[in-house]
Amino acid sequence: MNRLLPILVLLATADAVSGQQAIDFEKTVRPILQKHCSECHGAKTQKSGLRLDARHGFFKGGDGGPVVVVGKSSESELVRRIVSTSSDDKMPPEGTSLPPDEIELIHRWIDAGAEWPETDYDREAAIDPRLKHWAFQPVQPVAVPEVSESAEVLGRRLNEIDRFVLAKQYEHGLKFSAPADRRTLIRRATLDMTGLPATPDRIAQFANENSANAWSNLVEELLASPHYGERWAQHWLDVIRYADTHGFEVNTPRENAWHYRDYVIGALNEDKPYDQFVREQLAGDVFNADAATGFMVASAVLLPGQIGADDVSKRLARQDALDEIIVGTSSTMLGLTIGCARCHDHKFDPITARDYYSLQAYFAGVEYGDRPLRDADFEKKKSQAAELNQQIAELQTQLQSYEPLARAGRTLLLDEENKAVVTYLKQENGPGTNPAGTKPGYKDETGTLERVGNISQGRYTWWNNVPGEDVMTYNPGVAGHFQLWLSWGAHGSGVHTRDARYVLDRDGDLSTQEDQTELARVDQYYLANVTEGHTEQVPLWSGLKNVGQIELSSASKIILRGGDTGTGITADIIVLQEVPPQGLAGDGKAWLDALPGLRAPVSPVQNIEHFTPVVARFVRFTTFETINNNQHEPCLDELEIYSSRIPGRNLALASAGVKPTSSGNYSDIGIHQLPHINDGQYGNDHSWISDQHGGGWVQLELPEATEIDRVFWGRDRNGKFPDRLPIRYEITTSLDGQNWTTVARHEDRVPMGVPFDAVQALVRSQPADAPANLSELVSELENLRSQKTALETPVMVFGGTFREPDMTYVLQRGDPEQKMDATTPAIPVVFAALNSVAAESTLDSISSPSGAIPNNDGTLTAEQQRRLNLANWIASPNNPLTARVMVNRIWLNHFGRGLVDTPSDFGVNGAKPSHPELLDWLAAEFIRSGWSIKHMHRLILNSATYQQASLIDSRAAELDRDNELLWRFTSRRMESESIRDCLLSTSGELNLQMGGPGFSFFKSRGGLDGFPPLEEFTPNEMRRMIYSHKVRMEQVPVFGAFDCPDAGQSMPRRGRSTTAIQALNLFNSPFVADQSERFAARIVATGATSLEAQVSSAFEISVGRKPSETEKTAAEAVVRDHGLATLCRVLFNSSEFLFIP
Amino acid sequence: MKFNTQPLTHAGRGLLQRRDFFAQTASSLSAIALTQMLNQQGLLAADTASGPKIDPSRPHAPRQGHYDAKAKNVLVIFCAGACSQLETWDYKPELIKQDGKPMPGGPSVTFQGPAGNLAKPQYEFRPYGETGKMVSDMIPHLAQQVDDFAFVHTLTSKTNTHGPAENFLSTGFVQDGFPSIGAWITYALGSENQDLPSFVAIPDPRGIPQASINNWGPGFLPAVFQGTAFNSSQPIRNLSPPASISGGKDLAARDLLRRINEEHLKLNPGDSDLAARIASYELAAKMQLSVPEISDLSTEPEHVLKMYGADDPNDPIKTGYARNCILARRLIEKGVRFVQLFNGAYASAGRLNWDGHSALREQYDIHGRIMDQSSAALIRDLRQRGLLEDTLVVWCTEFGRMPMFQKGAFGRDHNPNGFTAVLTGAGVKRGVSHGVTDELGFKAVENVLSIHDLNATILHLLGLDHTKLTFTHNGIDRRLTDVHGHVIREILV
Repeated sequence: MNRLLPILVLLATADAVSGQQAIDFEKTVRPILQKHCSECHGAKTQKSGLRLDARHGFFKGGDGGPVVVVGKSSESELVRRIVSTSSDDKMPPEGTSLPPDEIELIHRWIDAGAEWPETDYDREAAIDPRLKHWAFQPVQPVAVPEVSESAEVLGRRLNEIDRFVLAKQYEHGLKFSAPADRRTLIRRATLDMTGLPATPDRIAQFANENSANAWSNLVEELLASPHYGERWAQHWLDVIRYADTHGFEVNTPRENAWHYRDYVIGALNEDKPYDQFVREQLAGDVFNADAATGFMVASAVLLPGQIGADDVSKRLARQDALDEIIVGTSSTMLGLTIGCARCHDHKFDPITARDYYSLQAYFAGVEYGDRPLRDADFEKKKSQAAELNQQIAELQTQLQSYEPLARAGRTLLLDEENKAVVTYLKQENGPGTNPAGTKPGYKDETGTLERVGNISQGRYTWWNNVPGEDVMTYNPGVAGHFQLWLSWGAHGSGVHTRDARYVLDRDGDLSTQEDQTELARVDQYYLANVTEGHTEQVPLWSGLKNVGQIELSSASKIILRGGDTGTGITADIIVLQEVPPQGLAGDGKAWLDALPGLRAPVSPVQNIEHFTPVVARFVRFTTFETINNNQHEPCLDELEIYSSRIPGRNLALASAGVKPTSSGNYSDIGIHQLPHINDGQYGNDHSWISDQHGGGWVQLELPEATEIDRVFWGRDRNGKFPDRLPIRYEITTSLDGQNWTTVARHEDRVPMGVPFDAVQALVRSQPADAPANLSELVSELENLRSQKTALETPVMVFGGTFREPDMTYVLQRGDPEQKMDATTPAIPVVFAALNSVAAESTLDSISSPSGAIPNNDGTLTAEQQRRLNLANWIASPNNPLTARVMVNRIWLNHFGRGLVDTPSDFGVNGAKPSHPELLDWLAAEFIRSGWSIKHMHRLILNSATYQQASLIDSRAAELDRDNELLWRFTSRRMESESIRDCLLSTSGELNLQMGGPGFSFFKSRGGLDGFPPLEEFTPNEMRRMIYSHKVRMEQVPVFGAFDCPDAGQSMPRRGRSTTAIQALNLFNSPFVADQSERFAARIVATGATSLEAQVSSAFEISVGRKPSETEKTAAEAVVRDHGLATLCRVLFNSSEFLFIP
Repeated sequence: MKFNTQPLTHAGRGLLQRRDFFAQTASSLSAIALTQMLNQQGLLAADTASGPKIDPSRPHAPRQGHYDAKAKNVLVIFCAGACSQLETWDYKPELIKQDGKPMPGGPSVTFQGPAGNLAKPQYEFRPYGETGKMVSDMIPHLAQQVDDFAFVHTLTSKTNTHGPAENFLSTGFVQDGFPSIGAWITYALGSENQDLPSFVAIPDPRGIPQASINNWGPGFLPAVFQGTAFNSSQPIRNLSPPASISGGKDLAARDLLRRINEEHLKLNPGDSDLAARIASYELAAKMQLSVPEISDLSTEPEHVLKMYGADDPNDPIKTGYARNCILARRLIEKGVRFVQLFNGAYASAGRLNWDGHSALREQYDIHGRIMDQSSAALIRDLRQRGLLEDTLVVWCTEFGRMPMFQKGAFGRDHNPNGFTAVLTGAGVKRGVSHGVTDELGFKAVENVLSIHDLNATILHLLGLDHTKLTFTHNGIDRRLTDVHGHVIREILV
């Protein structure tokens, strides 16, 4: 009736004023629209997306665009439709059309400008109804309801939870069940909180305890148990689909993933505040919690080999990997299903595709990979490593004084394959290639006291052996007095000649024989200096044989001549080292040694030139060749000069008045200027570069002539740049700058890439004044260095690795080939619109979180800042979802169902909360307690609600079948992990060792055989199941059948199905049979000898009670006839054993 | 008044977790009696809006679909490794002409790397039957039945990687963790046979397929609907107790367990989970007898073994596959709802499955011989026994192969753009070909179809509307066909 009234008024008014007056919209037009249009285009229904009962909809139009042209009724679709008579498009489509006077009014109203004053109704209607969704509203303070304490609850301690629950029950004619008995209670709480059974002793103690605090003491005991974290971490891992493999068909192990699992267990046990936990999941790298970043990358991911070689496949794989991060984060923490917005605006929730990509932008720099774990332990180790520095430096200085002396004279390494220094007289048959490995004669041999490392390039050359026939010559091309070392290819086959001849041809003219002298005969069956035993039947490098000193002219050659025996003859590298004219003075010991003095290969980091002390005013470093065929000009970052008279002081520093000069400089400004050569600063940024490719010199002039014995030089002491390195060079000194003496050169350094053991080399070349324990000092240094390296090498964890973020684009239908607008990180617009969290301002104000660990340069990277912004928004007490979602997850795992029954969907399409006030109270309490998860457990466990019996009351069940109103405790089958853990605990086989890499349930992984189950078990496999190596998509033998999630998709609430396959596994598997035997043995070991005692003990340990009379009779009969293990097998399969009561 | 804060809009909510199934449980019933009672009370099962009604203690009970079904059972012959359309069913004369030439406008890089030149089919094609369908010499036995087959030549996949593509074919999603088609179907329809699993996956004698148990996994559906994997040589794990447990011991244990569980149920009247557990042990006991029986092929007559090619002791792989084919027929005969028969195993450079990258002809000579005769015999046998009246047979593979060889190789790379599936049996037209790929067989051009369409069609033949068969997981009403799929009506009678 009320509705009609204004219409009548309107008609009258319209007649009276005949359009001369302004049209009163509220009184005239709105009622027409209301009457004729709102059924199909109103608040409830909007056919064709058109809403005509409210201002915003009217002017916005429908799916086909605007329906009104203001001022022009004749062009307005709305008017066309209401006057149309065609059944195809007339409006309203059915029933009578609008009366002519109403049509006329609409005409006039539109032509007059369609004045529609906005009312509260319009304003309200303009708000997207989805924004009013309960879960998007701020958590509101809620008053705890008063409840009259009925008879049923008298004597119980009621807490806030109970009052909310009771108030709801009373509304529906329900009431609490009786309290559960004490045995049930302790079994329930222990299984629920730790996933392990209460021991018979503890049950008995609790059952007999009269103290009023017995229960709360038990609760505290359980909360303090380290097994609490192991149990509850599993719930979290289910949600984030944690696994120890990468998934998809190859499903390779993710070896370092377990750190995340241990992190979660630890965080729960220490009751890490949940808001901080959240921050660490998304930005653990900022909070010294690297393992926590495993959260973002917990899902399966395609490895590079599984992604197509084409770019389209690569882009799709990247998009898919990012999608998993977004979906995981939003569903886990916010209870939002956001994945569908990858392709289109969310169907139910106010999340647009643009929101999706704006969220993606937060993660645009995240990759799946291993990252260093910089936890407290790592920091400790780092400082321990720093403590070693002093010791290492001291030893280093000490040992440096024994550094092998550089040869001022020439050293020649003549390789038989280097045609510049050898001549082949016969066609060779081919090379012999040394096998890989470090044994004597192998390719990678690094040398011993008796042998230098393999300098032969790993190959020798061989010819047919004809007695007396010359096969090749070495052509040194230098004159002087030299010591000679030979090497050849040795082989145990016995075909090599046993008496190869080496002949010096003084004039180099092979046709003249009188100048020839036989230098040595060599047995090519053996390695150098070996004369008996067997030689391996592989191509070996002989090592060096010292054959004494020879005098060479620049034309002299050394001939290799066929021996009398054997069918093959080999040649390999020879070494010549110049004997100084002054003879054997000074470093004479080395000259008498069997081995040449060969020093370490040139290093781009640092090289030490140790020489006989010399008095000098000028020191010059001349380069003849740089690495990579003189590709660049040589670079030195610092040239240092030392004297053992003034230990530890660099005499070359500009600050001491030393003047540098050079043959030419790459640049006189910037980072490579000449003054950098002796500025005391290391690294590429403080280096000198010559102006010649592969050449040039730099020299230092000391203030006065000084005795010196060491020069240190390097290309980049910081170890970043290996290019521009001088590999042929000479160091000369002078007193006057005119006459120069060579003190060191590159020639006695072995070529780069040759295996070289610096320690052995040092010991081999021990100078006379070296201490006796030199080799011990060296190994001590090595030891300290490797200790330091080990301490400094971080443990790697699978987690996020971070880089410069990619540009993020909105993608058409989620397809990376269809980019649309670029977008930047932003929280979904709905939250900004709701003003529940002032998005941007919040983000600004939290840019420097307390406890954040900045990078080396003292700031967070922009990429870190992105993730931290998102984390801080999620972890904000103002976020309407975060606390609600988490308290609901906690509730769910205590009671078997959540207050919101869709734990990962708090969106419009999710379930409504059964107790909205309680949910909000808990959320507020969670935040108030400092986001303490243990506080929530404590509240729940101490509630009378939790402590009810689980018996089904048929009257209550009639009213509330699913126990949504909590009129009893819902008992339920345990999860697969608890079943196994309890079984092992009961049999006495459980290994309670915590943490570390997971054990495997499988003999081998993947491929054709899939994952064959392990059949033999060691104590390691008897650890709790959370410590197993979780193989994605693969069911764990026996226990996997109990709805164990496969880590493919998130599993916020486990299924609890009952299947015949479960029965087969639990009843028939050898594992359970074996554990039954062990359980039986355990019972016997406790001294239970009588049938009665054994049966009683079996029940008490497994189900926490004595058997009933009928059970006792039946069980004793079975034990008598079939053994105690048969009863144990039965108990492991019994419902009572498998259920949380 | 019944309390209901939420009308049960979430399909599957509370499914199999219901506790009050026995509103008034009589505590003294034996397990068998309980099962009978459950039978009668089947209607009490979880009432979900769109999901099927499922009795928690008889989850495999037969259930009605959305409308009348043409087919009751499904047999899928799954050629793992991507069997080439060009060497089987999709005849391309133009490709023969263009042999050795570069493909105009073709991709320069495909899944594994650079593409080579076009390569003609590696087998001769010849016409068969009244329809004259051109089929390759690789599969002469299957070719004999082309007049009974419906071909779809224009399937496409979303991915060119085996694992995700097998996921896609079997679950409708490329990701891990979604329910397999067999799980969806047994969830919807239960089984006609209460002594055997309702969904059996039969892995190839050479090993498991690439996406492994994803092909028969339950995803987020209740575990009870997952496929049970066994074949003629690999029995179900833990089907029987260990040898150390004698028959008498086992019987005593079983008996005592039932008594203890019944005792426990008596103290917790009305708890349907407890009743379901008792029933599950009864079914397990039945399977313990029925599975070995059905796997025992010694009762098959000689001529059957010969027809399937299961009689060659010198060819264990071919014989193994042939025996799997016989097992598949026996399962279908017994009313097992969904049988998934694999031909081909894991990635192995084409040695053990259809992944012919390097030397396709050589590899397909091996695989064709194994697959052709036994598969053809299986389909023929089903038809002769009248089982195709209500059984749908689908021959499929995860994607196709490129018309060109890979550079420097004699094999074809992955191609998700147009490949063939074959359907026959209940509700399927005979002798039709639907959809056309381009003249080189590179991509589908006419009536392009997706895997979702194939899956929608399979569900349709079983009387299921693919848009209505849903299960709510993490806030989303999930379907086998995601938000896609159209029934391929052109090939249906």
